[in-house]
Amino acid sequence: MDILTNLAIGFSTALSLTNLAYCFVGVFLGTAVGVLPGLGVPATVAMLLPATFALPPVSALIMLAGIFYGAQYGGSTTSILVNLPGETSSVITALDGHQMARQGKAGRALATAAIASFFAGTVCTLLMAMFAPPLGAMALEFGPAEYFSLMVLGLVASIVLASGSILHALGMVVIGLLLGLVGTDVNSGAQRYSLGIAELTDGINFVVIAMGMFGLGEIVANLETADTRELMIKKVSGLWPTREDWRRIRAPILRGTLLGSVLGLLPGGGAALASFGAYALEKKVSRNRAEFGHGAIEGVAAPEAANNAGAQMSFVPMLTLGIPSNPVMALMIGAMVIQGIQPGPGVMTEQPTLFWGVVVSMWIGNLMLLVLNLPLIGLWVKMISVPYHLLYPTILVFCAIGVFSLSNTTFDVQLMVLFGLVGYVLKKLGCEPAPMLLGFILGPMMEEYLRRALLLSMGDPTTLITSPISAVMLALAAILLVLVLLPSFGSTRREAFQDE
Amino acid sequence: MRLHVAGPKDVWAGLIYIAFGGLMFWGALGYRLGTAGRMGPGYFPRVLAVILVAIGVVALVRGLIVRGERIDGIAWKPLALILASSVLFGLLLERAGLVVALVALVLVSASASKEFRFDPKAVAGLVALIGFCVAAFVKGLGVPMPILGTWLEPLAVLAP
Amino acid sequence: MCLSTLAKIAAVAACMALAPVAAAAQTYPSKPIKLIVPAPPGGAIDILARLVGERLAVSMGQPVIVENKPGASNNLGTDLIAKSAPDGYTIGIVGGSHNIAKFLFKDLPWDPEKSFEPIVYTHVVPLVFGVYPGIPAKTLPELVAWLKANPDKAKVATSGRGSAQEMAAEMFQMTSGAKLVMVPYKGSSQAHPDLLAGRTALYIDTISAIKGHVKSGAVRAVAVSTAKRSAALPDVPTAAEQGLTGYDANTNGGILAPAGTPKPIIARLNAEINAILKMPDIAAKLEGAGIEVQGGSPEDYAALIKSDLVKWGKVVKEAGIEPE
Repeated sequence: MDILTNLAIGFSTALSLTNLAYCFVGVFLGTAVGVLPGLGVPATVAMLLPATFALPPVSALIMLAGIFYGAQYGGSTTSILVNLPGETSSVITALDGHQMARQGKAGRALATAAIASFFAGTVCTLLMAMFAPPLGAMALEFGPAEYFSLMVLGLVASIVLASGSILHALGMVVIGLLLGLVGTDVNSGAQRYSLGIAELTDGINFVVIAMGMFGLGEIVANLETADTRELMIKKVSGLWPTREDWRRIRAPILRGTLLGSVLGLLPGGGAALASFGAYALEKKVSRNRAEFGHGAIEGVAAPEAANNAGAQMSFVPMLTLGIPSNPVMALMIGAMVIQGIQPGPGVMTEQPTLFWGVVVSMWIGNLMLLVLNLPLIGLWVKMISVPYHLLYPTILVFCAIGVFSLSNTTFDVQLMVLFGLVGYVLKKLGCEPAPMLLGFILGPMMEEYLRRALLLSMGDPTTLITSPISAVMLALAAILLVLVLLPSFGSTRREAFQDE
Repeated sequence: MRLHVAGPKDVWAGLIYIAFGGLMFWGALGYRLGTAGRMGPGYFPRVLAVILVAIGVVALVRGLIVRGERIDGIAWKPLALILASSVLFGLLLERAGLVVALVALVLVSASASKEFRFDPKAVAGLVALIGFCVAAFVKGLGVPMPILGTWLEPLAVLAP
Repeated sequence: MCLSTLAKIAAVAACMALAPVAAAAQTYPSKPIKLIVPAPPGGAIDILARLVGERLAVSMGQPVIVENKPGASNNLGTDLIAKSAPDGYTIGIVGGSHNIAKFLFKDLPWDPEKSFEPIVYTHVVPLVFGVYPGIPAKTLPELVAWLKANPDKAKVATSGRGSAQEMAAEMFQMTSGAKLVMVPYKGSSQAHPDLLAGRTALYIDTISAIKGHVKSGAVRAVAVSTAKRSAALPDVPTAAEQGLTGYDANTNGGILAPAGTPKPIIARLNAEINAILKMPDIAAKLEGAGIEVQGGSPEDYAALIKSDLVKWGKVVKEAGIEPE
């Protein structure tokens, strides 16, 4: 198969005026939805779905895909500027991105995010053009046992996320794991911890916790530090990364892209780990690891690259096998089926214009996003330069409406308030929310995969080590755990004594 | 008499872990345990709850013997006002409608700041914000929020 | 301006003074109609609601607002429909779980029959016996024989408690006599990779979800679950044709109103929606997604709900599933 011919087919499809227009509408809508926290991409795509039935299939898919990765861009904007992560991946971007914004480096953080995402998008387009079918086949190698071990590895990596005490990071991870269990148990149908409240039987929505702990918690924390007439951000120093910044972000972007592309291929929850994993990796290998959590530019570059790579590679199992990685992909498969296209290995050979058109349009869409977002940075920075006492009620409005729109229920708004309170108290005690959120995401998946693995092996636990992939990941997790815990026993004691 | 504690943050966090872990364990008693090979819905929560209690004990002990940071004062006023404004929004949204709920949310939360003045500029900002929310969320994105809630519905007939 | 406002006030006062129901039925609809979907966007009933809602707005002359109220296995939104004012301005669409929920949840706040006024039976989605192609069985009897000969490999994917996929699998276990290990998943998307990789042997899934894999050869379809063959896979024989007498499982749904909605309003909605379901482009779009369009009188739908309740009640009881 000739890559150049394929790419030529792709470009001739994606560059048609109609498709360019739909691509733009997609990424524009996606950015808008991503910037408004809480408003879900699945809901937006679902509402637009009937409208796409009238479009040619390629245009429909190009637009829906544009919404999906456009929202990834938009999501990082809000988390960097006002510390409101509307999605799993943006939680990580918020850690260092928002710190940068507070130091007056909002422009540089936003530009770094956009550049990292664009680079990852470019690499992934090339990867997809060259290796889509064999990469797709990899997705099936991962069964429940392999996923469980991957989650264990991710969980151990999450302890690295914490900038403070390892012990509290562990505690918060476990609290997150427990909160993740609220709702209906997939295996038995039992209602766990739903307290007889119907709204809890489907579990707690991630965004509710993130908005409560990050959004509300942040506002209260800012209000207690005296003068709110002061700007939340310091004097803005440049909108563009400096020469030093460029030097620092090169390697992290590359590592993030690689990690994200591999994890994105796994439809059972790989992409969710991409940004977490990339951040944890950088924190272990970077020379500037002391800066992490206090505005390290690597902490923005690596997870953004990983997140975008993961998002784009998650199209591979969908296009080559017809297996969706997330609800948005499932909706896109629905759109294809209604258009009379069967997603699966046949798409590449029977519908080359569709397959290559969509792949190439992703690169064009990423370029559009870069062009769209870089000039917007100045505007964003100006927007958060208003005095904080005018800014925070607005942030609160977006939190409340965003959380309501998740399932269109005010119950979630009240639950957000509860998590705001809990987050504030825990923060006062030096317990950070990020590890808890990762535990919350991984908890239910871990349990589900472990129990399913044991069900499929008829109760034989050796299934976790007889699979080579699973065994390697468990070994890695064990090594990482030892590396993380060994120095900490000494250092936390010293840190504790250093105080005052 | 005040008990002297070496690391109050660790002590309180430890107590929270122990309490939450204990509560979750107690809650899990109602779910079938199963065996390690065929886990019931009660297996995972019980294991996790025990781990959390163990972490809590370690934190508690560390807090009692190792000197740590003190807890900063709690900002009661902003905390109460921010939380109350969001609760109010949730209560009013479906009953009084989006417009009233937003007014309540913004005014109550804004009063948490010392800089807040209810002047014409603030009113203009509030009106603009409400206009944006109605246009973008209700009309544009179709979020099913009533502009006027059930309390004010009779008024809708009077609108031109 | 002033006069028209006064006129409106007068009209409101008049409306309140007159017998409200009779007056309302004649002027119906005079304001937007809410169509509640008790599921998240994107599923069969959501697509149907959006397609039908768009046309219904045209024929009724009032906007039809589709509102997703997901949660609690669809029970939350369904309860909302049941508790709405029975004035024809709130209606809802329900799916397969409507006729199963009663047997799975102890404190269900609504009753599938008593809480509602059926409007119209909108659709049925047949299920397909999808087999991992590495298994030699080409027909249903061969599959049953293989499952009985390989009890350690007789792993069947389901979509979790109370799903049509689980009910169909339980029904298959009861009628075929093969001993099956049920492996629950959150839904089709999660179950497919393990079926494609052969970690599970069988998945009785909706035709809309599994058709793609059948066409590509990744999954072998050995039977259709309904009494009639499906137009989407006309070459696949039904389970009953292959000796599983009486086997009939599907997931179906319809549009209904809260109990007490005036009969003339029900009749009007029934007529309009029936007309929409007969539109060729609507039927074609839905059939492309594996959703077979139905129709008929409110009484037809009531009778279907009744017979489904009997059928699933029996399956739940025989499978020994306890309500939670």
